[in-house]
Amino acid sequence: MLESLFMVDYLKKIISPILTIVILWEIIIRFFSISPLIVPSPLTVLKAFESNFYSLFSQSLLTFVESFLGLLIALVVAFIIVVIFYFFPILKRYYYSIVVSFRAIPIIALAPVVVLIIPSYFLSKVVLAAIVAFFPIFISFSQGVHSLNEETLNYINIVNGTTGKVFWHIRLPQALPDLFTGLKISSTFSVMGAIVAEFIGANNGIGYIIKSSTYYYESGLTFAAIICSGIIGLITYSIFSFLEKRLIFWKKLN
Amino acid sequence: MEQKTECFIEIKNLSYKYPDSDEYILRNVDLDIELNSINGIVGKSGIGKTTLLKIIAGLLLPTEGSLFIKGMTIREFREQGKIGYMSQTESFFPFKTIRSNIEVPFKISSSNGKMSEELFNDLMTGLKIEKTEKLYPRQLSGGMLQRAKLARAMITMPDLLLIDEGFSALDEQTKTSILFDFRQLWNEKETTVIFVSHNLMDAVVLADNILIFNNIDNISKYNVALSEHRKETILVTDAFFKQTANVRKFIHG
Repeated sequence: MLESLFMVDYLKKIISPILTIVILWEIIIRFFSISPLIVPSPLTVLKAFESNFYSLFSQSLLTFVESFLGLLIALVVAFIIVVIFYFFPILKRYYYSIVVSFRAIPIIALAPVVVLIIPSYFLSKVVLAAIVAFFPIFISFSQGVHSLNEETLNYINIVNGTTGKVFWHIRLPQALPDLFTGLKISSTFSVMGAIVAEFIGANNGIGYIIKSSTYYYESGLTFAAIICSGIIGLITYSIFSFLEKRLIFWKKLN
Repeated sequence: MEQKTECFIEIKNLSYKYPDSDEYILRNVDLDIELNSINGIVGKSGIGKTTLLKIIAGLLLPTEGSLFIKGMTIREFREQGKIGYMSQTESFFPFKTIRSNIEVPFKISSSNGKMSEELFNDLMTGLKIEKTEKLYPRQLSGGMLQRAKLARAMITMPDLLLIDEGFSALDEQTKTSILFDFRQLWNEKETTVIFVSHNLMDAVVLADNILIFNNIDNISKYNVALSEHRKETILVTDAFFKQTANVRKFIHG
């Protein structure tokens, strides 16, 4: 009984903002007489969803897989670099700022080169997703690993803590909350990376649908695909949010 | 009692100033600390109490003078890994149970030792935290957490136990009860203890000797003439009032 009440509450939280947006959307289109070729009505979008359901679903799934794989690769690479920088601080001193400065390169500028270098469409999309996802994960994880207060460092020093053991037993679990913050930020970034790659050089994926439907003025389909891309990001975000709650159980304790 | 007069730490002409400063924090300090005694460092804040504790811990190197522990230099003594440490702010790791937190020194130190179950149980009982073993730090009150930190500092059976303002943030009642429990436990586990406190009463309750920092170059030692085995009832005795008054006189000249 109580659970179903919570469920109703949860649905209300989702449905009411959606309804508000849809109603406002319809009002604005009518009030400003916006051409349906530019901005379709919510009903047109719904119809586009219905008639293109299979292709929207399969292409969304493809983009989801690409961005998720990219995210995992980014996680592994960030982890390895953070570990190397931790065990060899001299490398961190020289290379940390170089690694971070790569973040300044806009993904849109990098995308054509990556697509050109990597012949496989699928792989180039995964790589671009990984590049965009890498920085938030790397920076937040690196900060988490290095954030111990002075007294704790003194304690570790006095009990003769070794670099390796301190990393595995203290710094790594300590950095998990920061790592998840990075993963959650990257979960939407990686979708963006994959979609940018699909704009530039691909014949499938949700980004390709957005691009081609715009080309043919199928605005209903364009909007449906845009909504799908949002949902992909939301699903990835929710996966990490769920894992975070499970793994970082101590935050909820009182 | 005879054992207690044996010198454990010998400090001679010790001075300290920060590398980028000309101002001395400690100057020409001479001090002997007896084996298996409890020593309280008291004095105004900013006078160098914590600095001295950090020098003894080997976290800071003296600018001049010498310091020997058991006839060894700090580095030699540190290699044996026999220092216990607790302070107000060092972390108890929120992702580990109380038991795992207490086990931390064995998990992270180079010595590869194993925690003694017997000592663990002794400490948990002596510090009255037996039931917290499987809990996480966030589930404990401030007083319980300080008790657990004491257990972690003592679990390696250190020759030297250093406590930096370990109890100052606790309410009076909790603190007093911890101090007496700790003193009781110390009677069983003999080790040399040096603690920094800004509270005179705490120092009288806990210490055999009080090291009074009057100035950066003037540390006087006051021997607390109270029984080895102290109970909370001592707080209302004349002897206790007399000792506290004596220390006050010592401080204010």
